[in-house]
Amino acid sequence: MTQSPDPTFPQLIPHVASWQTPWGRWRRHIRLRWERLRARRVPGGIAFSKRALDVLGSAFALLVLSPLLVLILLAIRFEDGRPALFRQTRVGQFGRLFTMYKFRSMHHDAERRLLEVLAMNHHQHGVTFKIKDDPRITRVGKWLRKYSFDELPQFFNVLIGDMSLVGPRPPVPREVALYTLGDRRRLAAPPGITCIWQISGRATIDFPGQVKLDVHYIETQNLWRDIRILAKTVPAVASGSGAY
Amino acid sequence: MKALLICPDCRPAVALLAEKVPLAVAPLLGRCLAEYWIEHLAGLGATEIAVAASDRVADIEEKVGDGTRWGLSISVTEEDGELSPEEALERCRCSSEAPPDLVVRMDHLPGLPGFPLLESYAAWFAGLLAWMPKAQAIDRIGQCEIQPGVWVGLRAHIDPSARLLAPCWIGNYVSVSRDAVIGPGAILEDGAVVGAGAVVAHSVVGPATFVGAQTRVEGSLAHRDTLIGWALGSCLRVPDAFWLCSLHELRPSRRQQTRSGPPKFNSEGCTLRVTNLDELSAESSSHFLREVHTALSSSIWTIEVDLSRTRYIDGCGLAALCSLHQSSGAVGVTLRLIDPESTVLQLLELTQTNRLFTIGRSDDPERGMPWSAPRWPSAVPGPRHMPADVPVLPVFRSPAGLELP
Repeated sequence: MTQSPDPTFPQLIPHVASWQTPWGRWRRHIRLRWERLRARRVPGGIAFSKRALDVLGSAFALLVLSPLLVLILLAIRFEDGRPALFRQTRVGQFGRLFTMYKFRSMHHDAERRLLEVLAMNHHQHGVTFKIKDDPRITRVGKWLRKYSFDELPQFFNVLIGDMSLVGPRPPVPREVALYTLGDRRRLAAPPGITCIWQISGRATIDFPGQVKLDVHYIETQNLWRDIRILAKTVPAVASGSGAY
Repeated sequence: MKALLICPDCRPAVALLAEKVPLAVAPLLGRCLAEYWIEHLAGLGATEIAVAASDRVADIEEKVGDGTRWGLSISVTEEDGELSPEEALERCRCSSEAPPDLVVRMDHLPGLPGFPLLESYAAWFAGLLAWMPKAQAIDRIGQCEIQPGVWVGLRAHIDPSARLLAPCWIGNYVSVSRDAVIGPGAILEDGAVVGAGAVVAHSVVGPATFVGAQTRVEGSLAHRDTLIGWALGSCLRVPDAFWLCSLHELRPSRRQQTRSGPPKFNSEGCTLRVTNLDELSAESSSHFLREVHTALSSSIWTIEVDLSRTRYIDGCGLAALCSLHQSSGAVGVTLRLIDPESTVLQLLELTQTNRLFTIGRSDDPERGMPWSAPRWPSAVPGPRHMPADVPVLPVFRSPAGLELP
C-alpha cells in the first residue's frame, strides 16, 4: 500500500487550503446552511404551499357557502328525514383510512340495495362503480349530485387535513382491495375534492383513464397547477356535464 | 393466502445501518425491505400478512400501517427476538391459529435469495445493485430510466455538466451539482445532495445526506456523517460537516479528547520522523506546522509523518498537511504519510487528499511507488465482515472559532 502524489491533480491544493481559512470555512458553512434549508423546503415547500392553500381555501369556502349548506341540509331533512350528512370510510394518502363527509343523496337503504344495482355499473373497466339513473338516489340528491353540491361538506375534511382541495378522489377500501400495483399510485398523494379528471369529463372517464390523469397530476403537482384546476372546476361543476 | 413475514433483529454485521431505524424499514432505493416484501406478497395473492418483529416494532408498524394501501390486512406482533421460520410455525401450532401458507424471513430482497443482505455491508451493497433494475416497478411515481441503467426520480435536479455513469439510481428530490460524477454503481437515496465536482461511485448515499464539493465517495455507504467502507471494512464518523453530513439532523458538539502527549520529532539521518501524533485539528495544526519547520534543517530530505496513532483529523489538520506538502516540496523535501489507520485513510480518500500525498507503510520496502487511482471491481466482491471493534473517529467540535452546525 504505497501511494505517491497524483501530478494531474493540482487544483485540489487551493481547495484544501481554503478549509483552514476563516473565509473558506464561513463560505462552506453558508453553503451547508442553504442546502439544509433547501432540503427542508423543496419537498416540504410543495406540501406546505398545498396545505396553506387547503386551509385558506376550505375556510373561505365554508364561510361563504354556509347559507347554501344550511339550505341543502334543510332540503334533505324535509325530503327524506335525518341524517342529512353521510359518513363513509375512505382511503387517504398511503392507505390511511379516514371518515369522509357528504350530503346524503341516496335513500337510507342504499347500501343494502347495492348488490341489486351492481349489474348496472357504467364503468366496465377497473374497480369503480358508477351508474346512470341510480334508483337509490333521492330527488334532492339528483340535483345535489348534478352540481356536486353533495361534496361540499368535504371542505371540512380539507380543513382538518384528511383531504386536499385538489388531488385524486378518495376510493373506498373495497375498491382499493381490487387495485393493481399500478393503480395504487393514486394513493401517493392526499385525496382531493377535485382533480384533473373531474374537470376533463368527470364520470365519463373510465378508471384506467382516471389513474393515468391522477398519476400525471401527482408527477407535475405545484401550487399554480392546483389553482388552475380549482378555477376550471367551477365552470365544470356549474355546467353539470358528466355528472350523474 | 396468509403469509408471515419475519423482520430481522439487530445484526452486528450491519449494525450501523440500523442505528436510526430497524433494518426492516431501512431505506433501500426509496423504499424499505418490508414494503418490497409486502408488495411482492400482495402480487402473489396474499390477503393477510402477519409481521413478526422484535426491533423497534412501533417504527415498523407505522411504516406498513394496516395494509389498506396494498389491499390486504397486516398485523404486526412483537417478539422477544428474531424467530426462525420453524419457531414461527411452531408458535402458530401452539396457539391453535391457522398456520400461514408462506413464511418469509426478510434477510434478502424478493426473488434474490442469492444476495443475503444482512451478512455484511458488502453483501448489502451487492443486494442493492442487483435490485436496482427490479426496483423500477410500475407503481413508482416519477422514476424513469433516462438512459440504459440510469434511473432518475421525481423532481431530481441534475446539473447538465454532471456525468451519470450506468448503473446508477438517483432518487426523488436529489440534487447533483456541476461537474459531479455519479456512477458507476452509485445509489443516491431520496433527498441526497451532491456538491460540485464530487464523485460517487460503487457507493450508496443515504437519504437527505450531503456530499460536499470535491469529495469522493467510493466503495462506501454514506449515511448522514457516517462513512462505512463496504469494500475496506472500515467506518468513519466524518469530522467536518462540509464533507459529509445529514441535511436534517444537526450534529451535537461533542468530541472525545484522546490526547496522550505532544508529538515527537526525531531526525534519523536525512529523515525527520514525526510520531506520537494523536490528532491534527484546528487547535493543534498550527503548533504542528511550527514544530516541523523548527526541526527542519538543511540535511533533511524527507519528512515522515507517522499517522499510526492518529485518531482525529479535521479540515484544518488536512490543510496543515497540505501546506507542509507545498512548503517542503518547494525546497525539495519529500513529505510521506506513514501507517495511516483505515479510518484516516478513508478520510484522505473521501477528501481526495490521498492524491496529494505519498502514503506508505513503515515496513514497505517499496515506499514511494507512483500513485495509481484505486480500481473498483465491476462485480462486488464476496461478503467481508467488519470487525466488531471498528475504530471510529470522534465527533467533531468546531475549529477556527467558527460554530458549525
